[in-house]
Amino acid sequence: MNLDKLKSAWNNENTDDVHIPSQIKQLRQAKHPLDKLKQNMNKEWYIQIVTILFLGFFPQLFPIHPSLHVIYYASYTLLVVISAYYLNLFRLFYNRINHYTADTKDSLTEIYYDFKLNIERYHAFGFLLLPTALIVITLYAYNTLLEKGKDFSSLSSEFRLTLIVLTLVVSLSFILSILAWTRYYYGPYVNQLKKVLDELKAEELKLEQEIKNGLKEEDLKTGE
Amino acid sequence: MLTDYSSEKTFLNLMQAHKGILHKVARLYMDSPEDREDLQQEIMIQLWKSYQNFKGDSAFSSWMYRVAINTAISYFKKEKRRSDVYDYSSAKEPENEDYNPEKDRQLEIFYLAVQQLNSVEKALIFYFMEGLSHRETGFQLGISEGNVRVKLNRTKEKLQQIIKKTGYES
Repeated sequence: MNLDKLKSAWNNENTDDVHIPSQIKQLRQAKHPLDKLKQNMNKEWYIQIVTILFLGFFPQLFPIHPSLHVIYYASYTLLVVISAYYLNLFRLFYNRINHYTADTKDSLTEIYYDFKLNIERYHAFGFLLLPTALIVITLYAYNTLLEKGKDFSSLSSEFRLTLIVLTLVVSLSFILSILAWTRYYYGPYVNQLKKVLDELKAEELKLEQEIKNGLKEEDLKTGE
Repeated sequence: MLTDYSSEKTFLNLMQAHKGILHKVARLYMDSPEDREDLQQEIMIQLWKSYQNFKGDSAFSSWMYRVAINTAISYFKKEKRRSDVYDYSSAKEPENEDYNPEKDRQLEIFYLAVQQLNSVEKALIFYFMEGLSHRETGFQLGISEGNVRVKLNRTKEKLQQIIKKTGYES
């Protein structure tokens, strides 16, 4: 098939299948993975705010000993600071960027690293929430003991060891599930992007190498 | 004369004038009519979102090529290879006012064969068919002119091989 001769048919193709709306608002919502990521972030932002507000009243809704309030609110403040930092900073970051007008390699590289960055954001956020969650669980466990007139020192050494092992197992499972979730949710898309980028860059590196080799051969010939 | 690129109406008129780009990119990257419509919509959305940054420094079509190809490449929706299962004999001839059975049949075979290329190869074929030089294609894709030459030659060869396998002779 002669592709050059096919260009006339290509240029005169029927384009009736393309429907241009009379108003922009008739276009549907963006479905691009990056836009979905932004939409998810917006949703998470609201869910996070509601959760933080709810957690602020947690000791009142599920009473604990007043002496433990200081520790609870100290860890709560930590949670608020971390959440505010992550959610706001990243939301602003994602809303201001535009990825489609640069050349393809730059554009895809940016999208690729934004996704990688977002994956790391989930990891870091999840890992930072873990100590807060552990503090809250410990407080409630300690509160239960206090109500029974006991404290951690009253627990048997076997039970304490079991608690430590259990904490480690739960923490590890939590970390692994965050890693698995990001890999499942974003992994395939990131891999596809990487494949396209490798495809774009591969020949470039080979050509650079060939040019270098060519120059070296020329140098050797000149040297002779 | 300065063009007012700010209004929605101007944008939609530009879309109307360049709808061939939407049609071709969607046809290259998606193989079902529903997916093509989806991609066309997605490209228009991304064009509109980026439109405020378009100052008219380059030709509108050139800017539109970039956004359309970048969106299509990174969209990935339902893109799949179907080389071994597609029945090429079922290729339909599009109904067109300037109907040229042979050319239209060739174009149909061409589009079916292109479905087996990867995203970058599709972009190269698109720019080639649009008549862009190696240099311009390299500028759009962000790769060197030499790289475009090598890749395009390989892609054209690959495409010819795919077409041959279909039993098409010209």
